[in-house]
Amino acid sequence: MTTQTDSTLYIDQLPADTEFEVTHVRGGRRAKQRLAELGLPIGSRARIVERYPLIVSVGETRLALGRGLASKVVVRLLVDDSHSATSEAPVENG
Amino acid sequence: MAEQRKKLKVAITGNPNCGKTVLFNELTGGRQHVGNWPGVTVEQRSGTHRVDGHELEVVDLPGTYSLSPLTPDQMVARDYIVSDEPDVIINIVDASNLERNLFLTSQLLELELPLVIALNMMDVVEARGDKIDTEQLSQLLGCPVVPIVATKRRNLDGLIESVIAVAEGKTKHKQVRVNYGKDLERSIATVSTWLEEHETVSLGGSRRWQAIRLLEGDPEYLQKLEELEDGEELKGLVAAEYARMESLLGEEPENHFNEAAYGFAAGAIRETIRRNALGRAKTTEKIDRVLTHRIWGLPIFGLLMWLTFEVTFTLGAPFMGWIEEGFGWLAGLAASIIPEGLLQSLVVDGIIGGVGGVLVFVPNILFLFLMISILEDSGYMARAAFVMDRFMHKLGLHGKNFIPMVIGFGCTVPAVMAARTLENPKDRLVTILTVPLMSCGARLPVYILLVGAFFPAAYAGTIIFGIYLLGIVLAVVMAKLLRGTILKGDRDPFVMELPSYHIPTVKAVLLHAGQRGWLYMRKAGTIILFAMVIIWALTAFPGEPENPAAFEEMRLTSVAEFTETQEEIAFGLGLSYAVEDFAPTVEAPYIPWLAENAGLLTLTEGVGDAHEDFSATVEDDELAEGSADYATAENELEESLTALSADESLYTAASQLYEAESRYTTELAMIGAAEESARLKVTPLGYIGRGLSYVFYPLGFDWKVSSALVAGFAAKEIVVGTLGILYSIGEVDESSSELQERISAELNEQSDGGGWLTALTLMVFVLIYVPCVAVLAVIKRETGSWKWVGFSILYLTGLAYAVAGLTRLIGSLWL
Ligand SMILES: Nc1nc2c(ncn2[C@@H]2O[C@H](COP(=O)(O)OP(=O)(O)OP(=O)(O)O)[C@@H](O)[C@H]2O)c(=O)[nH]1
Ligand SMILES: [Mg+2]
Repeated sequence: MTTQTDSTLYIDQLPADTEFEVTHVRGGRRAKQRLAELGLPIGSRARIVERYPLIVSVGETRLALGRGLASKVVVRLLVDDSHSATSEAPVENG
Repeated sequence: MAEQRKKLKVAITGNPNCGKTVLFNELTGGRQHVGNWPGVTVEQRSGTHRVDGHELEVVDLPGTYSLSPLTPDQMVARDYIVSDEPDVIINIVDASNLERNLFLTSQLLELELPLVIALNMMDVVEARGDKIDTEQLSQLLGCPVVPIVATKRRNLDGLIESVIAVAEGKTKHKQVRVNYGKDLERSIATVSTWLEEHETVSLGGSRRWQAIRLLEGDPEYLQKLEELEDGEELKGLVAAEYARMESLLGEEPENHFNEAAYGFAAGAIRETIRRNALGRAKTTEKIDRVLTHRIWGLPIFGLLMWLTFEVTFTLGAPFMGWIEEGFGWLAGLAASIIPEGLLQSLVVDGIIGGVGGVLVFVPNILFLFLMISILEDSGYMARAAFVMDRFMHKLGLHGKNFIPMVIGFGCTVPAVMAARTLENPKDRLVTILTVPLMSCGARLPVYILLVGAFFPAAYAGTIIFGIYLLGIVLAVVMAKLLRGTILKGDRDPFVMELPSYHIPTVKAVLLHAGQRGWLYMRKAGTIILFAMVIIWALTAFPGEPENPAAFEEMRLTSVAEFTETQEEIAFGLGLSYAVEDFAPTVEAPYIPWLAENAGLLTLTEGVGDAHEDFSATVEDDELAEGSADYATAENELEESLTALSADESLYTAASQLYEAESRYTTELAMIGAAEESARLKVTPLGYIGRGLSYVFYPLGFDWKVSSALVAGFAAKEIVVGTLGILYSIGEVDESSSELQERISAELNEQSDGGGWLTALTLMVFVLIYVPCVAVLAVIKRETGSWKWVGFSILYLTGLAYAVAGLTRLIGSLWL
């Protein structure tokens, strides 16, 4: 069960241990491609491990994001009711 | 045996850090660099693996996350994969991180290449308690899937069997594709059809693959279109399809391509993995909370670095002492076997003094690489980069630039090459230009030699750490400067995978350290040996100083003084000696004491022995004057002398004779040294060095140091080797003192006790000035232009001079 917040939210604004979904990456296709091939495509769900410096966990992958990039990743907060550990799969096709 | 083996080309590809190089090494017996961070391998390497009837040429490639390369190392991988060269491609997949790894696999499937999937790191999967149904996965992917554990060589034979089966067409291959959904598939079909109709047009890869790349907006493929004859038409078609997809989907189509690929991966996983219901251990996250901590991260990194150099110096020291003694002994042996002359000088001064001087540092090199390997193999490397990112960000760089820098602590050559993992060409250049400032292993001997000679052992590690730190600071400052001036431009987005920590395997660490130690020794035995012989030759001729007569005269004066004293002693005692045929020489300076005076000679010897015992004790136990032990030793000396003084007048005479003897020996040694150094000055190296010493005068370097620095252009080890030769030649008795003592004595004498400052200035200069020839060659290769080579030489030498000068200026406040 997930609910959505309204205003634009960037990945570096989230507190530690929150789960989120990537909705948009500002600033060109290179950044988007990088993130996608490393496991964080648009639509994927991940968790903030550490906020400062920013480390996120997607499935089995841990990614470190530099500040410049972090301020370009737009996310949607996922409020997880079921208290399951990590969300694993990015959303599926279709 | 006579039967011809069938040849096969096998490429290994996969995500970074999934174990490609481990597999390559295990298959081919290679020794390629393995490390627990993404981006270790940056160029392709091949080796052979033989199994009955087949000879496999195995090619290790840099890791890549996708087939649309953003960096030069990934380009190498992609180009080789699509080159049609490999008969089979082994796609290594990290089984403990299947989903992300299958993204690349989905692209390889699109290429319709003969593929075998090696499911590596099965040990990690098993430890977690997960189960993977490889049969099922193989069905879903349409190609063989072989579970392996590369580090433990588990099931490598099974993997090779599958590879050969695929190569010989014995495995049924089912073409599996990602389904991109109705809208995208229609566009793919349209573009593929166009390509089929225009058979001559090919951009690389299968038609479907080309269509996907174009529709995804891959800049490289779109660029290729520009160069095609029919490009315009295709370009129009692609643009129309792109617009159509965009309007249908309501967003950029590339998002959907990625989403579909991940959807495919997620689907495959759902059907094949049974996960352990228990939660995952989050050890790595916990360690990261500490090591990448906002405040502590940087100090911890500093501490680890300091520890590295402390260990390198402290643990290396005793071994170094033993090796040094060994070479001292060898030099003595060589001197006694080989008759005095050029050959003896070549062996003793040139080879043992020069190459031996370099080999003394093998233990330190081993310890340095041991520490670096542990940092690399544990997974800390990626964290170091990340910790530095916050800092580098302020300077217009990012953390990834830092990985080549850390590699540079080992050797600058791979560090320059590691710049390939950076996306931005300007970032790459900045890194290539600043990485030589990170002090490499070959420079370490210079520091150890000088720190050991001039500073107390307790501070040694810290001072060396300080030199390395200075290197980092300069690199960062220069990077900032370059980035703000001649290499202005945008920054890359920084995102990096943080691998799981693991305890470094003893095998990998020892292997790596041992290999680097071996490389160092091999270099010492080849290039350095060659250089040492040249340097020696430049110091061997002419064999005499300008005015040899002057030194001969000095010697005769000494002899005359010595005999005079002897005569006085004999006269005082009323002893007789044979006056006839008495002509003392340098070799036989004693007056012919008669047989009845043997008692005096024996007593003199006894006095001499007592004194020798005393100085031996003081030296061996490093007793400080004024300490209790020193007083004890003095008492012992006193006692043994008292025991000898039964006949008081004879004892007094013996003491006098002993003193005269020692004075004479010292004088001769000093004259010998002065003669040698006068001789050295007129040798070719002497002239060169003295010419250079004008240039280095402001830095306080004498001609010997100056020539060592210039010789060090070829390789940094030569600096120490040359110092070894130049400071051992002047010695009369080779094994009497160690190189460190000789250097400290001579430099301190030149500068009234300011030798430490000269040493410090020299260390700073060696840190910064021109990288070795091998580095200049890679800079040329990586940048493709001599311009940057020239720039490196000029700016580094200028910087070295300026910073060393500043060091001297500031240091002289303490003099
Ligand atoms: N537990 C476990 N670790 C492995 C296995 N194979 C490789 N590793 C470790 O994974 C790390 C990366 O290995 P490499 O061979 O350097 O990886 P690579 O794919 O060549 O990496 P890049 O050159 O960066 O692309 C090393 O620390 C290895 O010890 C395995 O089967 N099991
Ligand atoms: Mg590798």
